[in-house]
Amino acid sequence: MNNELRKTILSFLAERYPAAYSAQAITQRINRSGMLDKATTNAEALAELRLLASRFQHVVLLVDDDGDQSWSATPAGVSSWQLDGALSIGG
Amino acid sequence: METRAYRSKIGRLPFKLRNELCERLLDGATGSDLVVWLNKLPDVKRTLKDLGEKAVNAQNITDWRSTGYKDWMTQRERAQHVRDYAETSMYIAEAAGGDPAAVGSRILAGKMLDMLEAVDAETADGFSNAVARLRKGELDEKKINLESRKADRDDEILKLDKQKFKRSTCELFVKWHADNKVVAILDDQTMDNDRKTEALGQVLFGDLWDDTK
Repeated sequence: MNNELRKTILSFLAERYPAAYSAQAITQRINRSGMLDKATTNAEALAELRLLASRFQHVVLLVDDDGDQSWSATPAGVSSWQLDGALSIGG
Repeated sequence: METRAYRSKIGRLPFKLRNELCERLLDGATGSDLVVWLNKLPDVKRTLKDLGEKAVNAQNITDWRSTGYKDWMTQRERAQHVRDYAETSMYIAEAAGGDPAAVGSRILAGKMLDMLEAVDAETADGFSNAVARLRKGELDEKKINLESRKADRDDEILKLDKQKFKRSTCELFVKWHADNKVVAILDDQTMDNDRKTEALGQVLFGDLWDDTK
């Protein structure tokens, strides 16, 4: 579990709600933003996305007709992000 | 504000506090008010004690204005742009025929948002503004259509009212024709129309007739 990464992922998605991104795109954008002390990996981001979805219901997994997986914030995730100071993630 | 490590007294306060300080600065709070507010907060007292620092003073606020607050404003502006772009992307995904709640639309919006954030701010703003104008045009057209439909409905109501009035009048004539006093007034050859009207008014409306004079 990586609280900082989880918070950053939620901020990235909540700010762009309801747009959806693949885990790979999220990883790339977060690394490019320089918000973390060290670059994250796709696997680490995926683990936090799964936690955000299953435990907190702050993100949701979307699967398109081709089977591609994308992640998007939920309204509950957006509220949580706003209450937490609405951190903006560039990149 | 988190991307840069601030060494100042205020810069080392918790993120939430710095954020609220910036919000208050934006709302126009004075330096002296902010000094009083900050120094009363337990979190500030604890943090400053841990850092071995003295209480926050007016100069610290002034310094913060030109560093952390300035960065916060830049970030705030950028965040506003991202939200505008997110709205633009979602609108285009919908305009392309997508259900806004559908997976495909949301993925498409994500890809467009990626592109908008990747280009320079001027290009992205230009695009976003053009879409906003398009949206405004559509909304204006919807508004005109709604107003037109409202006018049609008002016309219909008026037509119905007129029809109802005609029917009620005819029904009243039938009813009044059965009233001997009314028939007598109408048949009276000695009265002109003005007098007949007056007499009928008295019979049909009683005291209420006087109110109409």
